[in-house]
Amino acid sequence: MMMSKWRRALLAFVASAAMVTGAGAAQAADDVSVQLDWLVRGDHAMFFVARDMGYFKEQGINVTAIRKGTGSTDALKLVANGNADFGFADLPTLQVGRSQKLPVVALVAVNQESPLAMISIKAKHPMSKPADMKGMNVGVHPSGSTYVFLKSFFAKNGLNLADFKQSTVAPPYENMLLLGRVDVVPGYIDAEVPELEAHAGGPSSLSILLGSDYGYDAYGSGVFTSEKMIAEKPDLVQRFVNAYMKAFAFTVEHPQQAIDITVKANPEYKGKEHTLMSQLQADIKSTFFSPYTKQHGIGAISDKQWNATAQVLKDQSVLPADFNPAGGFNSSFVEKAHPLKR
Amino acid sequence: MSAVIDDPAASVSAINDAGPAPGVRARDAMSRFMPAFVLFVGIVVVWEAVSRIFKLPEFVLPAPSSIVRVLVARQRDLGYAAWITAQEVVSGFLLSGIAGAAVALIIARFATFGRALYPLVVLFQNVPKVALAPLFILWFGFDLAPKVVLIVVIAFFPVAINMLVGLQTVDTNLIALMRSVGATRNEILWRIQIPNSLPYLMAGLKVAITLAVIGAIVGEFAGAQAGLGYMIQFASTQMQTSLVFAALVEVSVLGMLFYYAIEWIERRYIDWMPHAA
Amino acid sequence: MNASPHILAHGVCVDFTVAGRITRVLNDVSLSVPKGGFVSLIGPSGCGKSTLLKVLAGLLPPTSGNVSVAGVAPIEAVRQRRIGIVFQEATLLPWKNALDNVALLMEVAHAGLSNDEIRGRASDMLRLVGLERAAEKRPAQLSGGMRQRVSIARALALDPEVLMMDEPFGALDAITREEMSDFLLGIWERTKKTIVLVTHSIDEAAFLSREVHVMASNPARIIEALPIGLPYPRNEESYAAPEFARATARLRRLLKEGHRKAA
Repeated sequence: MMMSKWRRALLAFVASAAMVTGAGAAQAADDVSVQLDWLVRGDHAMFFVARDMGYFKEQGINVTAIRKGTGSTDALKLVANGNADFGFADLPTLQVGRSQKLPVVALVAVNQESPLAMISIKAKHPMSKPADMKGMNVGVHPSGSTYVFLKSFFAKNGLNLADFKQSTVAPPYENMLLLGRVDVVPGYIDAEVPELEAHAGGPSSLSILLGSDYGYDAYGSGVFTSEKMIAEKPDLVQRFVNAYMKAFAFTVEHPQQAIDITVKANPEYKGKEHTLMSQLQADIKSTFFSPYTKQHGIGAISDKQWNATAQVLKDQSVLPADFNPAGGFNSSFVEKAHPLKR
Repeated sequence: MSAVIDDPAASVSAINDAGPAPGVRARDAMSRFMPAFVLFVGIVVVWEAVSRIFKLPEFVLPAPSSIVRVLVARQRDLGYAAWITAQEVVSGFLLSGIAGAAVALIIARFATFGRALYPLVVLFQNVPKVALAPLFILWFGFDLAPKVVLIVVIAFFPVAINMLVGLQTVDTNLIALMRSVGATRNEILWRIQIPNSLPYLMAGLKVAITLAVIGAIVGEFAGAQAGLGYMIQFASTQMQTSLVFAALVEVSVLGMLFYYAIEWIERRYIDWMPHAA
Repeated sequence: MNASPHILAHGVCVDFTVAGRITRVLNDVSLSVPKGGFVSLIGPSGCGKSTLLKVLAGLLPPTSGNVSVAGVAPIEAVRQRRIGIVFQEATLLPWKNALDNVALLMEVAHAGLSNDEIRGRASDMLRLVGLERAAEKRPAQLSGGMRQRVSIARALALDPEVLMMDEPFGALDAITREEMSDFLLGIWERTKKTIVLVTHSIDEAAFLSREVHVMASNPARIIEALPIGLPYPRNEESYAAPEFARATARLRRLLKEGHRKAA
């Protein structure tokens, strides 16, 4: 029997109400905050791109803040404490944090090769291999990730740090290098190097020995979150990573646009587009890609390299010898996000 | 028998109360600041000369001309940063004034509690608060709160100590007199001790405002998204030393303005202590 | 004059415990002051005269002995607002003007006076001490003598029967002191209060009072109560009278003897 027109109208009303409320429920976005490890750099662009291009929104995520930080250690603590939901930090430091019971987990290894390098001013102290450092005055900062790198680099290349004259420097120590107070310092090619180059006399005014070329095979920095987030909101974590990876792919393919978006989001960097671009280009050239990413996609984390990272730290007694690095990363999210393979 | 004494002092003070001639006050202010101004200009001139003669690189020590150029060019950014920091300073300062006064009143009024509280306050004062700054961010979140808390823990102490001295430095004979006519402890506190302590409180507040500015900057170093401390950090990572100095100039001016504001309040309302002019 | 004394002290002893040792600061002191009388206490430093005044004024309980003021214990007399006290330092509130300072004790004593009554009475007191033009002035704007006059006005504001004064002019210069002596005599004549004055000055004691009690130390006691035979009203000419010279000479001798006995 045909439905009375009233019954039809009622059904239509109920159906559309269900649709509206259903759509409304889907539209209630998740609010998340992001904690960066330091002031804005080129490799932070993905967060701003994902927000500006609507990738987060697509995934039902509302990023309420992308906060500049005061070091990887602080960023790790803030996410572990719940003050922020996701963060960006140095992954070796993350491992150290885990050994101190910080419940944080790496999601995306953005720097597949470490951006750490030994740097000198070519005109004064040219180097093309580690042995060239003999006789140089080394700038050291006794706390922080650069110190571990420094000791590791020397050890892996048959040099004894104790044989070198060392001077304590405090970051930012580019000034020390420029003034000639030290001859060679460890530094990040995707952070202080572009600024340093500009003051030292332009591109190729520096001698750079990239750690990953000389046996330093730890990861660089990456995206991470807390164990609690993964346990309680795995779906949200996946969606976040989806958006981030889409922005990551965009950034490597359209770096200039990515930088423009970053500067727009951080107006105090107006006039510094060139520096940010140089930082990003350094990463694109030297740290984002590896044989592993060709197969598994950018940002993917391998057991082998994760353990190697831990080993570097154990060799320098920064991690206890019996520390188990397992559980410190979860690569399933990034792999499900269909990362760009290059 | 003479009962009324014609006091020459009374007529003299009557003349004084009539006030200075117009224009005298402005000239007074200028003559007060003139020596400082001349000294300041002298320092700037020597600094500029040294920079030029020795061709000092900007990232080592920027010349005053370079700093002024940046001050003008980045005035909007610096002004906004100063506004952020000023909010932290004012909120922190007000709260530390209240906290300091409260601690002083409790110690003065409740002797047993005071004996318990005072050594703890002194102990706490000797803990370097700057080490607590990152923890405050963890505990109190971002934005204003952790900076305000840091300022309060740094700046409440001079307020408390100074006001406490003022509360306790009251003539014993006067107290005896008050007690003899039946004044309660609270009446003595409100009528005698608290007004007596106000000049001392002002001295404490002047120290506190200076510490509040320092505390705001230190708090920002520990984690901020904006403000003069953030600008200093940002500028130094960019090797823009002129901008660092420009931000420092703004911080100093801010601090000076606040300090003189308190002095103005002191001169206007707490003026019964004789000043050496 | 009444037969029963206004102020009576008998066998008063005061012990202080200083650093665990008990020191006898007043030893068996007795005196009596008639109503409307003017009595001075003089003696060397440390003879206990200020302590005695504090006992009489109810600020310090005696270790033993009896004291009565207007027939009751001093502390009760204070509660009944029968005693006014003036110290060597004027102890005015520097943030209040002269009028408010005079009003202070009245406000605190809750004597059941309305605000208008308090202000009126304070004005009257200022007029009594000749400072009605200084009502709006703060203590910092007043001379030492004027401040002390405000202090006296404050003490008189609650209309006590007795005025106890502990070296009230000690902080003033010699000329002002003499002026203040004249002034105090004038107040006494007009208000007919009973006054007990502690002073260092032999001349001041002899000029002002009817009777001078000379004190000595080791042990702290009253050696003699010397009546001063100068007639009232007294003025500058009284300083030249032979009786004045006789009285001050006697007082000087008594003080020396007391000092010698101590050594």
